Amino acid sequence: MSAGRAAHPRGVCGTCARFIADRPAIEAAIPTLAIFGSAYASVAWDDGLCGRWDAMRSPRDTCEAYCLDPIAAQGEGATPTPGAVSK
Amino acid sequence: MTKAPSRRFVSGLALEDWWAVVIGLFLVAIGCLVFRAGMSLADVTATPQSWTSLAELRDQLTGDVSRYLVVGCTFLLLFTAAASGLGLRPFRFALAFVILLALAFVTLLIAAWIPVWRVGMGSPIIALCLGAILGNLIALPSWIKEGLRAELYIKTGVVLLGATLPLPLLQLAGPIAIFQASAIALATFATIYGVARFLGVNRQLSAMLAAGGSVCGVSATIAVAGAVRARREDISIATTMVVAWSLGMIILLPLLARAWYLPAGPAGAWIGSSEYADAAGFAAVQVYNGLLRGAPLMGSADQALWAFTLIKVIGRDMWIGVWATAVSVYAMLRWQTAEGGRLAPEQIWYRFPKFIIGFVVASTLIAWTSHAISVADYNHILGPRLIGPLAALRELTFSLSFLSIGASMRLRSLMPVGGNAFIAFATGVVVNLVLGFILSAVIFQDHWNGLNR
Repeated sequence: MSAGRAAHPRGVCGTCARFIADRPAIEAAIPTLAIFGSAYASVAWDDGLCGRWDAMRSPRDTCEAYCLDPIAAQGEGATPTPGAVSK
Repeated sequence: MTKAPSRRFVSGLALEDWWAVVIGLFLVAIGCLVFRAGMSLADVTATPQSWTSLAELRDQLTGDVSRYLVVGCTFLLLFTAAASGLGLRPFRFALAFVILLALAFVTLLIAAWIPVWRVGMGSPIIALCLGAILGNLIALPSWIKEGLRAELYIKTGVVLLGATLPLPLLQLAGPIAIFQASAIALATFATIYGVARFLGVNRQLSAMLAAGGSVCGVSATIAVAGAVRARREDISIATTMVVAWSLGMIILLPLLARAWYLPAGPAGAWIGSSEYADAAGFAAVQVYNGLLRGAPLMGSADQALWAFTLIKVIGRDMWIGVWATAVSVYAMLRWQTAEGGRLAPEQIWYRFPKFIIGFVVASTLIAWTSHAISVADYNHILGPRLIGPLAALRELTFSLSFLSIGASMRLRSLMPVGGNAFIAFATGVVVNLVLGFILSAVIFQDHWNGLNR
């Protein structure tokens, strides 16, 4: 049942501090998503929400704004920040 | 925060689809084994029977209380295990689920009350309204939200639906369902995308609107949103559009089908072609079946449900991954949207709605159980002792789903959508309705009418 993928290497969105992979956080950020759909569904694959660009991203994407430091990521006015949408 | 680190959800255990397969097939397998052993699920499950007076209802509940408890405890255990696997807090989920389950039983009982039954208002509409009232007028505690997993319940219901759809029907009618659904999806997708782009809507939103309006509602919107790296605001617009139209179609499609005297088979196929979300489509079919009772229409309730399921699940849902891949390939080649993005053909499998596997396996399990049984025995023994109880469990999961949908549907959270995105989507709706009607009620009328045979 496992997708069987390896951990995302450094430098891709999946390891970026701004990448929101948390399913409840994604549903909280897009409330209409969970009415007739779900962030836990197969169709969502492993997409996450980018706090820098405020857009969906694949964890395998790359970006010039890559950031490993969660504090720095929050300080740059990311919208939404991982902490802000996961409450 | 729940315990859901980034890599956790690539595991099947953190996907609702696989849990729906596990729960649905567990119930079907138990039903088949019990039947093979000469017993019946009907001995431990109960369905609300029609009632007219409170005394009658009290007698019914008193007689069936132990069977309701067995069903309730089984569901509680199975769905709490799923919640735990998904990374939700099991205790909070269980608390919320007990309340949801009680409300779901109440909606089934209300739907069985003869005056309501005569109106044709099935349990989905009652559950949807009750959920919407609770969600919008009462400040629900946050822990209740843990149990509002509409998709988990509806997918489990679809797996159970597989048990009530004969396998030969799946083999015979599947290809036409795929052809019809694909033709409509292509035309609708092209219309919405073309009109939206013509009106100046951005490419990502255009693609999400087109997928949501043609392939499979919010699920297709989610799949394409990831494939084209859509902005959060655009995702909210696209999902709001799909939700609003889906809700409207729950009433509009059955009423039109009734007004135009569409028989059950073509009506089910039309609803399957033109409704956006699985849950909304099932509700529309239930409304149509309610209208069917008092009307001189041809066909059976099963026929409408089978035609709908074939078109929606086999013809449309199954192809979400293919659509997402096609759109992402187009996006990569023409838009260069995602910085550092790459083509990912493997998403055809990863985005594939896995509950469809459970749906087909459930149908196969029933075919295996009934392979040596005559048609008469199928109707008089297998029907009431195996198919009937599984259909009752399916209705319960659907009620859970509609309660969750109603309670999740905060009117305040819907984006104010209008303008060009609305015009584009509405144009696609018209194309979808007209093409769906022509294919369901004219070109393939005999095919959909003949499902019972």
